[in-house]
Amino acid sequence: MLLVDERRLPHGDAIAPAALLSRLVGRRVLGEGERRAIVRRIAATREDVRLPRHLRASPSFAGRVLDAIDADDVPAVLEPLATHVGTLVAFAGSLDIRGALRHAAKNAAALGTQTLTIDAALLATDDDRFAWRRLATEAGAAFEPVDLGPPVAPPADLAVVEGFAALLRYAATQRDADARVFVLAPQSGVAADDARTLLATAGERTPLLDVVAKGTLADATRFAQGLARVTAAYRTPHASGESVLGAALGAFPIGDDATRAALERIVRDFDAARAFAEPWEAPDLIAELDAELAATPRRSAPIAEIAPAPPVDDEPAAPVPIRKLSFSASSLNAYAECARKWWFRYACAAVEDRGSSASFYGIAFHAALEDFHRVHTRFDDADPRSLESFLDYCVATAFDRHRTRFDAPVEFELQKRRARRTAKKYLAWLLERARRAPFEVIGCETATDVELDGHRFVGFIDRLDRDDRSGTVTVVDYKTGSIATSAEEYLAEVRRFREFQLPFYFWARTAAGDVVTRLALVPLKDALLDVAPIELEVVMTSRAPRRGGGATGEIAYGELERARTRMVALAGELSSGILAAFPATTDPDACRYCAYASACRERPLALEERFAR
Amino acid sequence: MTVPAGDNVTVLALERAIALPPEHGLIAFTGLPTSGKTEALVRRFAALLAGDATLADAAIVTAAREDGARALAVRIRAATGIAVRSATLDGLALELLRAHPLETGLALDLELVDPLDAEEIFERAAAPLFSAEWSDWLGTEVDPEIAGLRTPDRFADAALRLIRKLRDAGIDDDALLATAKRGAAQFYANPPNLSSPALVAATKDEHRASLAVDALELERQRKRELDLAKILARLYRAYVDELVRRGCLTPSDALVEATRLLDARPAIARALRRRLRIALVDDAHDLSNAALRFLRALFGDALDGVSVAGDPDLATQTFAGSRPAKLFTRAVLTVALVPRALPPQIGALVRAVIDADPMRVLPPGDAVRTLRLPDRAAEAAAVAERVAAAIAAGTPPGRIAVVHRTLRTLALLEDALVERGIAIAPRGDPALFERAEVLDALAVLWAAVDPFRHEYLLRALQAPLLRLSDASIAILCGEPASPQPALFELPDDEPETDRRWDRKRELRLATNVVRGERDGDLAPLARERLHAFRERRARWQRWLAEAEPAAAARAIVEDAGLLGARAGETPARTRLRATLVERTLTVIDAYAVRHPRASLADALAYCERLAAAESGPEIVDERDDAVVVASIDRVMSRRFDQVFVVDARAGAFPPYYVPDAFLFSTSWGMIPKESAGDAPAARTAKFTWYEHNAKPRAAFVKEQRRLFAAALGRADVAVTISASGRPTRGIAAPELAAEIEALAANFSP
Repeated sequence: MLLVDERRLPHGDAIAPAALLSRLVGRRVLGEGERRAIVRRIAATREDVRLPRHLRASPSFAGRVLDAIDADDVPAVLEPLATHVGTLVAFAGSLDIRGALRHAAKNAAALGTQTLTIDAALLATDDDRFAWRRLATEAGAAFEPVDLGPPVAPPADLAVVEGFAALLRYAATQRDADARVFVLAPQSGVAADDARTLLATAGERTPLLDVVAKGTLADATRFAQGLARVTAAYRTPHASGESVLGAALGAFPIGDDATRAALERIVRDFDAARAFAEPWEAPDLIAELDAELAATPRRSAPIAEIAPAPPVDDEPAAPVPIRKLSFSASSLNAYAECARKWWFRYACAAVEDRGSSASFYGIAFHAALEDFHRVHTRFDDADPRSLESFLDYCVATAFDRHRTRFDAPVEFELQKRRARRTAKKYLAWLLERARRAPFEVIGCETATDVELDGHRFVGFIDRLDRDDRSGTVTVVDYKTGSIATSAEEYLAEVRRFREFQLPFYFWARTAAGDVVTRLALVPLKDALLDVAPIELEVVMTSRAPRRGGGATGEIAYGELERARTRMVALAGELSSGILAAFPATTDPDACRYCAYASACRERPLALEERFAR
Repeated sequence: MTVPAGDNVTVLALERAIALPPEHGLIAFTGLPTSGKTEALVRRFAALLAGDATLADAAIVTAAREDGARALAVRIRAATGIAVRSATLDGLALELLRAHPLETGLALDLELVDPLDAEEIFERAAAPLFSAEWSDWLGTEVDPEIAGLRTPDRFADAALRLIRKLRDAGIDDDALLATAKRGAAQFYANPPNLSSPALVAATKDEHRASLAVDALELERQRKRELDLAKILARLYRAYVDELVRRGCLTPSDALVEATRLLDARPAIARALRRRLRIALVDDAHDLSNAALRFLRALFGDALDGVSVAGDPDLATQTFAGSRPAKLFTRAVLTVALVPRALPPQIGALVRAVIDADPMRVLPPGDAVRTLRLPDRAAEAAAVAERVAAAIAAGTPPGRIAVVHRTLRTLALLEDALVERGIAIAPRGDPALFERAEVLDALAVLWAAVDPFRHEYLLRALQAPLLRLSDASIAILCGEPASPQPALFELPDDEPETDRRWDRKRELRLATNVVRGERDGDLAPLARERLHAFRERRARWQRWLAEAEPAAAARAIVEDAGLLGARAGETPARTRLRATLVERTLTVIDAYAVRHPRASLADALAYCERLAAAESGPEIVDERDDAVVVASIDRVMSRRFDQVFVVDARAGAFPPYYVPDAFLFSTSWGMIPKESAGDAPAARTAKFTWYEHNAKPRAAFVKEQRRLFAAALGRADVAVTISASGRPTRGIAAPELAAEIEALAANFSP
């Protein structure tokens, strides 16, 4: 007969000491796992125990408490707990293993074995060794200790355990997040790639089960039904750990015997311990799993079939099929900045550029100004206070519509406040501008769709103003991020063909019949600064830009022509159907916030870390 | 008592110090590199053992860094034949905490975690502030409009940096709040003269508006400042609670908690003191504040029994919170030693750099060399050529070091070296997750566990395993002419506006790759490669199901052929790739050990979080057959024949100092940088005043000079200082290479 620490079970024909002793003494004998469970239940439920939660939650807590009780050396802080454990166990008429050993010697003859082989881990103290040897002697059996290593459970599939914990959490709360964890567990019944497809289809916001309900995958349907069955089992009055585990195993069978046995043992002990503190919740059982399986090694099969892939040459380049045959200023800007980025964004379009807090600020602010200017188009004799109040309303509501896009709610709140302050500065500028040269807003978020030399260009113009006196049009573009600090700087970008936005809008509105004489970038980033746009007057021949970075300047018609020619050339290049390679930029700064940085194997090395704190 | 430098006097003082009994009080050996400080420690230990052999088991042999402690133990063994156990003080602290689990008040199962993991713990602690419940968490009396919070990630980083320094210094959350209140009262109740000519003149034009504040604005700023302090104190408390709850301690936390234990339980301290009678501490100038307080808790305020080697002039961690003056001023005997093996020219240069003395005359010689090239690529090539020449001339590669303040920006230099076939041994933070080799490995792993992570799948399709053309990849990203029925219908459009992204795109590439829906549109070669990839991937998925995640990851990376040599590359390149990928796998391995139930996807997500942090996992390649390319703090315990200090220009070394959104001073409390809310200027008046008054930038530059000098002091034969581009005027940060070029012109005849 082989006796082993119960955590090792199943272990051939071995049995646990409690099972043997119970037979010998004819009374209930608590196993060590059961005793640990009792300690944890009492510590968690008795108010007078007063142990901090983090102490009780430590995996080794119950073991340490029992060691102290068994050694009769209980620290003061644990005394109330030890007293409860002793009293409650005694009242329950149960024996622990040491107590049972004292009684068992009388019935040793019933042992019925020639050799008592015993796990050395059960002989931690001299008293234990003496008691077991005495039992063997009384029974006339040989006594044979065997070293089986530290007393831990056999390797288990811990992913299955994690799955069961997620399932329990789901049963208790029906939280979508737990269903998402569980669908990836080995026992969920949904194949790994199908589970990933399911998660990708659901995205971040749609509940998983809503997607399952509209799907055609039978495994996923069974998964949803299984969740419902386990939830129902958990909600049943007088549900026990065993009944819930039973439902879980019924709906989601576990193939690994060792893992199933470990779960069954823990749940059985947990249920036994509930006799001392009845009400239970899923987190109690999860805590039990955490504690009992903390040292359990993860099952791992050896990997023997590794066959390193031989390096291959580049597949011969071929023309890249371009799906998109209309162009926007931002797509041309992207191509001018980095052809590879353009390829990722427009030719592949497989990765969403999720944007940043700064871009969401911009989107919300643009929406607010659109709402505002749909109602207010003239400002020469408007009541500033009512304008201010309405603009503030527009900002607040636009930000509220985009609330969920910000990573943190507190960030949303602070960005909204910033936008409200900036809006005041914007209004002050608007009124001053109207006072100086009355105008009317004739368009906001105006869709543009123009064909230039056979290529289609599309976009949205933030705002169009018509001057009352001259009837000419100003194209206004709001900028909520960093922009050129002077007209000269902006012009330089246009001349380098790195910036196409305002030239494109110019040509789009000109094609629509407007006489565009001014292009303006309106900075809306800094709530502390007065709004001071970068303005370019369209002239036939521009004067040399002023030194020192003024906000106003001139842009020659010829420069706009050159920009147009370049736009058309780029569009022709991109739609030619002959481009086979899209090289990355050589400027690492362009990669700093690029959404495709992880995907790009060609990006230049990041060289600079110029700042330190 | 400090013994001045001077040959005979020094020798006598040194011998006397070495021979003093253990309980004599703190003894310090100071001096520049090669002055024999460490050797003095070794000799003192030998002398103490000669008097009492039992001290071998009652000694702490340690240093500010783990490699320094090991090096000291090795030298002790070489000198005395006695194998002593070296340990960092945090290791000892953890042992102590584990030995007294109930007395610590911490969780029972303690674990030492990397500071990078502590960031995760802090994230959990700070989560309520960044969640929908933030207003409940803060309460109605605290307004969140405080310096820095508008960018939560950066705010959290700055908060954690401050909390760590406060922990190190023994300032708890209550003390933080009390100090902040006192500091605010002191400043705002009686504001300094904000229009003083000296202050106005020293303030940049763009910040002068911050000084034009009236009483109302100052009162507004005071309130913002106190709210900032309250929020930080709450975060601090939450962080400590989280640590306590989980039993996860950083090295610094272990020191803090062990010190607290010893202070609270004198009996434990006394028992430990009986067991540990002496301590030998190398590089003591870089001991953290927490380590020093632990040492005092062990050995008493007088540090009786402690001998230290170091020099405040070599301190490189004061900005991280170390305070060498607090240690060295406690010494009852300081022996100042002079450099012996350092070439005189380098010795003089070290002094000149520390003292920022441009007029120092260097002795003649060719031990100091400078290089200036037009750009960084040219600089990297020139340095690599010099390294190759040194090797060709007989210098063993392991005796050559190429160093900088950080390894994160040396990839270009590494490339130049390995392209020339020069094997390198990197040490420091290599910005692991920026490296192409590592991203390739992560791409393959993500492709195995979750092909819908398209950014990685795209990379995997370009990586050496497949090398598909841009055209094939674009085809795989597109909709097939007759798609198979979708497993699941896409949900209806989400209600929010402005979403121009087509959700189908989130599924298409992975579906095509996994299910082969566009195979028919691919060229035969691409199709064949994709088939082979699918077969491999099926095998990888089996491994993922059957093996534990770290083992599966290792096998997948190997199976994908990412570790093998590639055509046309040097063995040095193959070796570097293997080093980087191996480090990535150890990160995954360590994560799997700490989270035994986690999946490989969890470990990869953890890598992504690490990638977003300002610093990342370090590499310490200890092989001595290769040129060491390192951050300076990773070579402090080693010496080299040739040292190359590269990229020594303003903005690189030293970097430009940019203070966090807030500073803290024990005298002035919180000093928010940015003026939050309805402010007339971007900065607070207090910050502008404090910057002028306390000059934190000057202190930062001084420390960077010491770090630079420490690098120079590692060379036994020659140092080469290189830079690129034209030097600036050196106003925002000094141009160290230019300074040295000028000093090199000052050779004494």
